[in-house]
Amino acid sequence: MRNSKLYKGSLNTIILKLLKEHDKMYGYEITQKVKTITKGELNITEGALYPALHKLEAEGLLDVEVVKVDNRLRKYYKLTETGSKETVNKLNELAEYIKTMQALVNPKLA
Amino acid sequence: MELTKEQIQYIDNYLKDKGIKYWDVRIEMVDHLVSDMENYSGLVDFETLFKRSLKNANWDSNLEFIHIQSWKHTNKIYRKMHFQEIWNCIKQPKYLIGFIMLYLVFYWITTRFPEALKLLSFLVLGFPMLIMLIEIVRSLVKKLGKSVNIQYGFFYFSFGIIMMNLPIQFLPKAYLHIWMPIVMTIYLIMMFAGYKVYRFALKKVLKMKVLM
Repeated sequence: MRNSKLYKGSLNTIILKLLKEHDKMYGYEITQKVKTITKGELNITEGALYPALHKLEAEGLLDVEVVKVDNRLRKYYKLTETGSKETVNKLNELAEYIKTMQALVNPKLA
Repeated sequence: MELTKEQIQYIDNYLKDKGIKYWDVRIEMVDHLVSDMENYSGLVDFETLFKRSLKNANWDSNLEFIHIQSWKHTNKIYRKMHFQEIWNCIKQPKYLIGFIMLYLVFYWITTRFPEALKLLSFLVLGFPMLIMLIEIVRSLVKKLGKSVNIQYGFFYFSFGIIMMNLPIQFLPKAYLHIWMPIVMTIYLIMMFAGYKVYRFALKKVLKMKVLM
């Protein structure tokens, strides 16, 4: 992941936001979607993505649906009710953070 | 390019040979690699494409590390879940009342009939172990294979036995009728929480197994 230290703390929010918009997604799809949206600027590594997905699942924010797709199994992740509420909180937190950083880094734009 | 069943099996075997021992960890890795390979639009042979996808995912070397990471991470999840289940037993009135009742009955019997202490303790210790034994046999019959979820499900199911083994050995003999009901109640809480964790793991694995 480019600028991994800066993005690492936002990975869960990125995943939750994508799932909020797409109903259900699988790991590879998430990496590709992020790459497309950010025009290749942000590349989520598999080593960071899957542990994050499993952690969110364990916290009850994501639900897993296993589906057979072309001779293999695929794990789809979708938001639970708690996950949907948490997404709103996380996005608000992130917006506040960006606002604060903007005020610090570029006061004219804040 | 759509991969054949044999090519997908080859990828699964490769990951297994390189150290990813658990099939429930490999599922997601296989799908990731296959998706990446199928997403490639150029003309290239299977071997080259496979190597390219392994490199893209950073899985071209040190798969042992990923294997270790996967069980470390799964352990973290199940440990948290086990702790949460123990907390639920204390927090939820229906469980709390149940365990207090168990303690009181145990205490009443051991004070009233001290000679029954050994037998009662043996029964309380043995009951969850018997359930565990039945579950082990059931999982063997169902041929669940080497699954990281089942492994940690069983580990946290047996966690109560591991944790209570030491205090039981060092309990002051003269006050066994006082200490034993307390230790046994804690043991039952841990085993009950462990059983719920195991059921979660089993449900998760069966859901996947049925599709394979």
